[in-house]
Amino acid sequence: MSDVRHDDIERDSKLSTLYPLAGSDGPPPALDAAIRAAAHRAIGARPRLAGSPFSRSWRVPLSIAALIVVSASLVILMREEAPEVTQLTPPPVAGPISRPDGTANELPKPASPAVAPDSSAGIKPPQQVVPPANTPAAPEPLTKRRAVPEAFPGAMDTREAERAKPERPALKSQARSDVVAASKEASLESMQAEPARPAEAKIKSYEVKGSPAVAGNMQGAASAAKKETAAAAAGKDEEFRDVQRTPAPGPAAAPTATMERQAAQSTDNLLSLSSLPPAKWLERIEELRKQGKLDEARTSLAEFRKRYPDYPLPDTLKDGIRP
Amino acid sequence: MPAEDTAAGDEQLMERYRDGDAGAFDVLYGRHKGGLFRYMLRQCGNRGVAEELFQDVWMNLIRARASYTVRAKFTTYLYRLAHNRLIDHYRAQAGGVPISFDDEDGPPLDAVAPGAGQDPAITADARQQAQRLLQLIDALPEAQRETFLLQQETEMSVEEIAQATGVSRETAKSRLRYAIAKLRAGMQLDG
Repeated sequence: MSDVRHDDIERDSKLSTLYPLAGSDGPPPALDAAIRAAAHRAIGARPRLAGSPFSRSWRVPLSIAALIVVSASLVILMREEAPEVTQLTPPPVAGPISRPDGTANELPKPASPAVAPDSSAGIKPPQQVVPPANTPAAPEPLTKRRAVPEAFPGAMDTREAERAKPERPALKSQARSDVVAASKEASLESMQAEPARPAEAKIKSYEVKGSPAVAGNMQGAASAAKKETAAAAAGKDEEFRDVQRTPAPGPAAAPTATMERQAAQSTDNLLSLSSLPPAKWLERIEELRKQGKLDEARTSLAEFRKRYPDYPLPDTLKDGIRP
Repeated sequence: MPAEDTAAGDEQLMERYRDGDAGAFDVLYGRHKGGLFRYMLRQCGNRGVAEELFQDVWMNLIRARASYTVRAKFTTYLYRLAHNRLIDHYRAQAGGVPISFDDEDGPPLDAVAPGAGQDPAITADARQQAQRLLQLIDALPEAQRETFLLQQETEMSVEEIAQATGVSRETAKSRLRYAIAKLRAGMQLDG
């Protein structure tokens, strides 16, 4: 190439000196950027940003730090929301359900090994729905207000509303498990040895114990709870019957189905009686006794005594159910 | 900009860009954008058109990157693309390709009137002289002007200018001689 240079026309030094002074026009920056971007796009790369070396070197660490902060905030927020998420999950049908009066561990013991698997699935109830035992009767006994930062009062209201929804299935499930346990015991005639808690046991949880100041509210709360229980049980009767209508897996299941049908009928009777006023209830017990349904009358009387321990009994029932 | 980029030759940078190094293109573009733009601007005399032609040249280079092999200096390759685009531009104009591109020797030396160079104001200031030089360059036939601009902007040899413009070396040399003679006469430069 140097040979070619030697063969070149001698450059005019004066012209070459003057020419650069004529101006250093260049493409506009926008055109520069467009061409660079096109070149980078052509090979699938991103153009180098014109930022300072400082910003380039700190871009990745700052991005990571921001990501960590956002992640930590989300984790903290989710931890705060976690109890509600737990409550929103529907409770197991056969498991013991927590009760507002803290009687989750007082579910009736199975009277016989045959019903043992159904009485309790061994699932612990969520602790956060169990209020203190000495909580006075309140308009909302099912929910326990959780401590919430003062900055979110509105959010708490929304949470309370959401939490109140899943309490319904929990209540129904509780009534169902109680009813099934009690009815099975009744059908097996084991009530006398150890009276099982019927569905009304839950109703007691709504009653206030040992507080004279709120004694006046006892009857109202109890009746409200009774209505709720009766409605829940009535709503679930169809489900129970559907479950009981399912075909038995084999011949060995036939006696069990019969027992369950009897238990369901007995449960219906119990529920219907428990929804009556005390006087009417006693009249029905007397009728049962007269009809010779002694077991049913005894069961009902036992429940009556639990419900109304101080209510005066007629002379015919004072000494128990006799033929 | 990494030091290796600034030290690399144009051909090496173009090969790196062909192989996917976007940064190599940035270096190449930075080196040649000014000269190529002025070449276009002074050849067509219109800034808007010059920008369009300038962009077309670089886009052609980007599209042709995959087939790039080092057969000559990168500058020769680049200005060959520019020359071809300029000829296409001329062809698209009403006048077609200027006749000077077909004329081996170009017009006679007196084509540029020397009278304008006698203006004392031109010698008063170097910048004014430079502006006068631009006027004289603009008055050159296109082919001679192109040859002179390539020599000034790219410092290519006559041989390389001939390759870039697609003419023989003698033709390129002749054009350059004519251009320089006219400019010197117009600037009233002695010796």
